Amino acid sequence: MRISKNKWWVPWAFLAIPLVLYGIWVIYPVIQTFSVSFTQWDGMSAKKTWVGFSNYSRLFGDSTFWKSLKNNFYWLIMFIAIPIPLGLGIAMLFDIKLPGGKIFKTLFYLSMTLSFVVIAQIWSWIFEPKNGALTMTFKALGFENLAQIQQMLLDALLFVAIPVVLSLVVGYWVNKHWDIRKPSRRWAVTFGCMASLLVVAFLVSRFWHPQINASRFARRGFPWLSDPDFVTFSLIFAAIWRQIPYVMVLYLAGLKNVPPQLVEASIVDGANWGQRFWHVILPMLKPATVIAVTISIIDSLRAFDIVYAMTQGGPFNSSSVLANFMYIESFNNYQMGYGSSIAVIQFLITLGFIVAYLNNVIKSEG
Amino acid sequence: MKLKTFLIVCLMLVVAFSFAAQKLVINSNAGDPEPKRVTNMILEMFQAEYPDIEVELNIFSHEDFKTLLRTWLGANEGPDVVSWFAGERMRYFAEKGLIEPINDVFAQNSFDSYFPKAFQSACSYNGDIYFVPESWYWWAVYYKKSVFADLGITPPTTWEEFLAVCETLQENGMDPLTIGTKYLWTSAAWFDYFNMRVNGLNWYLGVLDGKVPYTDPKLVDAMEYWAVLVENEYFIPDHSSLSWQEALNRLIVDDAGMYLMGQFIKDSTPEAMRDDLDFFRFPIINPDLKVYEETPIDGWMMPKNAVNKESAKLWLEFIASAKIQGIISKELGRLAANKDVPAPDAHAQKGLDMIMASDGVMGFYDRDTNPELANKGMNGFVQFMMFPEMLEDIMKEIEQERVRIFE
Repeated sequence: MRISKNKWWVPWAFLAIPLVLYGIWVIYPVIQTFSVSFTQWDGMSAKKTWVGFSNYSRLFGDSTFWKSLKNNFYWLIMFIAIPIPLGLGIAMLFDIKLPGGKIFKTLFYLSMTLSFVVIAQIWSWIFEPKNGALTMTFKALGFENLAQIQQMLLDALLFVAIPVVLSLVVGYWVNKHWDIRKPSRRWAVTFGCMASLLVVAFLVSRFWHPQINASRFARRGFPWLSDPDFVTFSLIFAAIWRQIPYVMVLYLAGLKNVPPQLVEASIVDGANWGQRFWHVILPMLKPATVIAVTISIIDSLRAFDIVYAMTQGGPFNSSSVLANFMYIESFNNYQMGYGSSIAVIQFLITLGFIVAYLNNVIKSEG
Repeated sequence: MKLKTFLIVCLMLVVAFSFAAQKLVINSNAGDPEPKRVTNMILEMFQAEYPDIEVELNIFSHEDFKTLLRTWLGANEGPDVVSWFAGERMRYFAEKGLIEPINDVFAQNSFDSYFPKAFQSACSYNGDIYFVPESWYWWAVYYKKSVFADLGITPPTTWEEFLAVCETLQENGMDPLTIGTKYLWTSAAWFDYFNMRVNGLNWYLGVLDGKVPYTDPKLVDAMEYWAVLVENEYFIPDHSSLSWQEALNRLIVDDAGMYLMGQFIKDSTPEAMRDDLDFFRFPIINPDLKVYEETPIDGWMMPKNAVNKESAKLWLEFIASAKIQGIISKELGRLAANKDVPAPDAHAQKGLDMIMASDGVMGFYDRDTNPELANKGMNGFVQFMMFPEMLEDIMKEIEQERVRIFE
């Protein structure tokens, strides 16, 4: 339906008020932040001193900035790697319509409804190094300190997870290459590969067994929030706990949009569960996946509440992220100019991802 | 008919504004339970004396207040009176013209008719008085009398005795020293004390003023003593994830033996334990040096953008009086700034005697030095407490910041 030529202004008229509000409350502050980042200002006096790019050169020489970038990077990776597959998995489980499904759905939603500050408080208690729930659980399981847990995970990764994954790949390739059709034969080949690779891994572990340096943890036990190298991961864990149900909700909505006829048709055509999932359901979930990935990226770059409420970026800036760093510099240290420059950097990084997303959306909508 | 309604509305607005003109807005950082209770009590007494002033008291948590104050001072209209700390923290704002001099509160009776002359420098800037002190307190090493009695320990006076006490506590399965460095300032107290005991206050003031480089060998000397405590693992292991109140728990349940803290520790100890709590002076390291202590001063100041300055000055005069300061000090066990008020109890008397017997006092690291530098410094101290071998690099980084700020 084409809008007649002399009514071209109608959409703009409708958009006028929201655009004006958007301009005042979003665009203008962004421009202001850019301009403040070129000044030195304490946020209180009327005077702003123009300093050009010196805030930025100071930023690139500040070790806390690079630590924040690194931490944001960890947040980014883990926010994509964990909530998306897990959220999808849980959503698929609910698709099966097990009894009591509604109760579990509510329980999962619960963590999403809590505000970040509440989540931070709860997890601070759980992470309490001496008497918190996590410490007590691991002590009951027989671990004495964090290094032992890390050692166990490392061993599991190197000598169990990698061989298993490798064996699946090798098994698939072998089956294809020798054109084995019978399902029982295929499974036999795969399991044979798995068994042999695990034996190889075991033999390798006799000679090469990387050890986690446990001396730092010997006294500290479980320094979930006080160890400078581990604290970021504790925070990310608490944030992911909330992010997984969020992604799950997105996928539940996406799954509702998968036309059941398509799935039934694939069953008729003889597709097994794995093929159905990989070739039918997942492609139909592409829009939901794009949204989930974008939201996770933006949330990870934006992370502030949990970091500020749990550790304030500590100990000594080890868990600092860009948003937290900006807040402390602007409001605790009275350095609005410097804080604004951090905000600008954060804006540019996020902008990069958003532009990529919008490109994708515009392309797919033709 | 429309005109009538309009005029009535105008009249109501005028009346409302005229009442608003008599409103006094007080913002206080007395977030902990005991100070909150006492502030409310004082408010009621003020209201009784000045019934036609409508007073609005807003109490904020101690840490949030520090961040909020900045926004109030930078706004067009701010609260009429705010609580704050004397010293550099106050002068930082005075220098920027964000608070108002209140010399006329002391026009009739001079500042030193109310308060000790020694306080005047911490309350003024450029010859004008900006700050009304309300109470002050001392810092010392706190312990439980019962624990020391059980283990046969007497409070140490020298550094060697102190180390011996730490050893005894450690042998008995306790952590000798507790501290909570999630909010960084608690670590600064140790930095202050080691400098006062090893280098003396006059030299250390140069550090606080930003005139002495942080890489100076005398600072390293002071930190070496601190390193002894850290390397012997006398501090609780996970202090960087605990606030000072959470660290206090360790002292309460006898997991830890001693706590370097200000007198306000009493506010947060359970009633039953308050009588068991006692303190001793931070041990002497160099007997040839004079003895210095930390005495932060709390009080009130008036923002320049206050709306109701006359009522604000009434409040400041009210707070400065001996009667009110006597009540506050009695309720909280603090020492009143007003020199006519005696120490409220034996505990406070002991503290007062300890300070009177000292040769000099300072405020506190993050109250006496530039706030931006303080943040960097304190982060460095916490890092040092976890990785003492990184001392050199830590001091270099703080020095970079000092150069940027002061030069």
